[in-house]
Amino acid sequence: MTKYIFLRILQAIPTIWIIITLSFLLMHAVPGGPFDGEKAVSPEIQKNLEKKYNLDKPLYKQYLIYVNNLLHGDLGPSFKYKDYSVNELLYDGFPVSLTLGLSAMLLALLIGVTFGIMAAKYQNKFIDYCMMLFALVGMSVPSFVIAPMLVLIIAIKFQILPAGEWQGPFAFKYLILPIFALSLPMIAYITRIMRSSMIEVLRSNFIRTARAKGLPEWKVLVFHALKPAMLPVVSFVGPALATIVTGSIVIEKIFGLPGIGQHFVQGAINRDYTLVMGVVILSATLIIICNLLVDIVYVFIDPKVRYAK
Amino acid sequence: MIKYSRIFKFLVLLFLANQILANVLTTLNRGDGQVDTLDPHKAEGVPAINVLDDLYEGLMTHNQDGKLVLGTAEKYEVSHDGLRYMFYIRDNAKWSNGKKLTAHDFEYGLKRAVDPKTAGTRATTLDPIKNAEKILKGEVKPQELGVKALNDKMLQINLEYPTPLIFEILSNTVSFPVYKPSAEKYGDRFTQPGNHVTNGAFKLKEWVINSHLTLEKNYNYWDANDVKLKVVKYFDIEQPMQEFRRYQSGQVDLTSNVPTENINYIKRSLKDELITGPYMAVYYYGFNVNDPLLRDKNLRKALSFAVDRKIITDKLLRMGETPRQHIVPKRTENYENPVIEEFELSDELRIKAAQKAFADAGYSKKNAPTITILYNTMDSHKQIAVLVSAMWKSILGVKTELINAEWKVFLKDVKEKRNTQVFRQGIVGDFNDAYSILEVFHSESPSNSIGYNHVKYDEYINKAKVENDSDKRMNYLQKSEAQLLNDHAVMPLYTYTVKKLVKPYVGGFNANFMNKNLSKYLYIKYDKDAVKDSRKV
Repeated sequence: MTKYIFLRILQAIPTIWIIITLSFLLMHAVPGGPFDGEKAVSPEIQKNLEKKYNLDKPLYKQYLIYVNNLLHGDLGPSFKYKDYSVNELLYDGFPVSLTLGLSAMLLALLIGVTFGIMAAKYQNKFIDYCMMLFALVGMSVPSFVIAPMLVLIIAIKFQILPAGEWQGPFAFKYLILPIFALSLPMIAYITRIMRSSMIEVLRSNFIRTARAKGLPEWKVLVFHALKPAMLPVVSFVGPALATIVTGSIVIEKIFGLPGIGQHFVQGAINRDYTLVMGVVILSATLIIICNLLVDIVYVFIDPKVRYAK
Repeated sequence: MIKYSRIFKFLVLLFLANQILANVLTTLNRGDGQVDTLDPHKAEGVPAINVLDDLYEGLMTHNQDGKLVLGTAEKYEVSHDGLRYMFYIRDNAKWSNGKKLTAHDFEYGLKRAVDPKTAGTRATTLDPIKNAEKILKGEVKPQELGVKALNDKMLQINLEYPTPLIFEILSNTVSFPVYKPSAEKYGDRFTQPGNHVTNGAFKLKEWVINSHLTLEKNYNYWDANDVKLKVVKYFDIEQPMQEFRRYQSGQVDLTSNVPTENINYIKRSLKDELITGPYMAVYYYGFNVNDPLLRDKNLRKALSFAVDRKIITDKLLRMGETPRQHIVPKRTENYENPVIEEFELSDELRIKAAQKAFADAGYSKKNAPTITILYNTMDSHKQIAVLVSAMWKSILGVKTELINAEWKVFLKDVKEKRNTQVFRQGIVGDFNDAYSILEVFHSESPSNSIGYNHVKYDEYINKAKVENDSDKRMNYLQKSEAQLLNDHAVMPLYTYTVKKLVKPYVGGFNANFMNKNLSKYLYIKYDKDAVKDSRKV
């Protein structure tokens, strides 16, 4: 197992290197530069700016400087937020996205798994139809519709919760709406996956055996069926977790939350090369880690899965 | 004993209630916090400049009406030739950490601003100061800048040429002093909370990128007694619609803009809270005067005269924007637009003039050219482009190709004259002066995106730049504007309006021409019920 993890980490290094190189080239290939503004600057100012940020050097030199700094843990200065380095921006923004993402995922797992089990248990009955309708709505209505609706109804009409703002990870009333809006599509996905997987498991021979032994239905569901039925959910949650904790652009924008999702979009719009690269590297690393975690969790859930010793 | 305990509890509760109320009534939430830097020598966007105006104060500053007044300087003297200025720093001027603010701090700030290592984008604003231009080009060291602190109180500024706009320049963020120990110790990070020492009415407490900035009253500010607010919060909200929602939910007291899509609702339901006024900014279409087709002045005239600006302002924008054919906004100080008789024509005659110019250019409805309009992605730009093309089509028969480009691609296309026959442009005047609009079209200006190059025009602008006599100066500026407009090099459409939503409990707000609303003049009216009621919009 240890060897397997070690090999996976080794494999990740060239993957990340390719991602860095490709993003670097793509970012520099996009038309327009970081210092283009409505009021054009004089040639001497443009020269000074390019010198300060090494943009006056040939592209391969810029790449080598970037990779060298990266190896020293330095993601470079942000071109847009001139008073901050990319390290500082990600250090400040990541906890926000992480808080939101983890909370939303946890909520989605709790509700999604429960709904999925209920739908499977009462297949083709009223409860199942309700759950499936809910899942259909959650999957088809995008977050840029749900989030403003929540703001309009809860924050503006009834003024129960604030319309947005970040007050820290423990200011719950500011987090309820964004977490709910973020988790809704996840709940829908997990409910559907869990339902179909549970239906399949409930038809298995070992479940029939468990029932034949006279076990109460809840024990059959929780102790026998849940574990194998969770496998597809785990496969879904791994990459989804990596995506969700690296920031939801729409939710962060609508609720004014300073996560890294906004950096990704704004960075690309502003041609803030280093900031975009920083977010890409962070996201890629997280996706690789989450996939690895999923593979490890598999071992514990499914006894059939064993990796080379 | 029980009695005393009750009295004590009551007093504690009273104290707490008083504290809460005092905080509510001395905190202002503004919606204009899209700040990318708090380094006054690097800042360029309007939001950053607004926040910096709260954090710092130059030798000159703006009053409640946006007019220039003395700031950290208590007085000044000018030499007879207008080339040497002596500013006297106030005795009670201090940094936010309590250290004395001296003329040396201004000297350090100005030299830092022009230092090529600082790489400030607006450093050319300081060009009139002796040697500034050479320093920016790297020909002379920053120490050679014509600024010298004679002692702690007296600051001498030597100019290259008489500069009528010198006071405006010295109120600009690029002329703000910077606290040397902090700037040298922390480098680019000297503006972060904890490192940031400022000399304005407020100091920085918190800065969460993409969320908000919190400013606290600076009790060391020389005029602190007149500053009523204790906390000012700027929220970083990009979209006017989201800002409006926060305003409705009571989280924002003063917006930076108003969403046009909700204008009918706002005019109907929040008319007492909607404040509008003229703004030193103009929206225009630039003609690429070097384009083979648009090189023809008659064609440019035809295109410009075919457009009814009133339809754009009255039917589409509806926020009090003024339809304009002049490029300099109407209320610009010490200036009157030149009289151009053709601009006074009735709609009927204007259309006839457009058709005549079109015929003079050798075109007819059957033989009309196809012209491209380039604009950056935004609904209002698109709607205006559609209206303009419809008017061109119906009056001249001109076909148009509308090209929508993402912001940075748009800027690159305009800079490289790609896809640009006619393109959207806007100018926000840095100063309340016609020169700050007209200098854009000087042949050597980096912002001259239309490629206009006229010897006479350059000559008038060069003369206005150094002319201290206000009548003569206005005359040069009028002649330059007339030249530009008679050449039909640009097609001004309208002047912008300042438009904001202001809660009824916010006092001291005045929509002014320069859109300068320093928080030091604002306050929350001491009316608890008003606060409570208006938060339930």
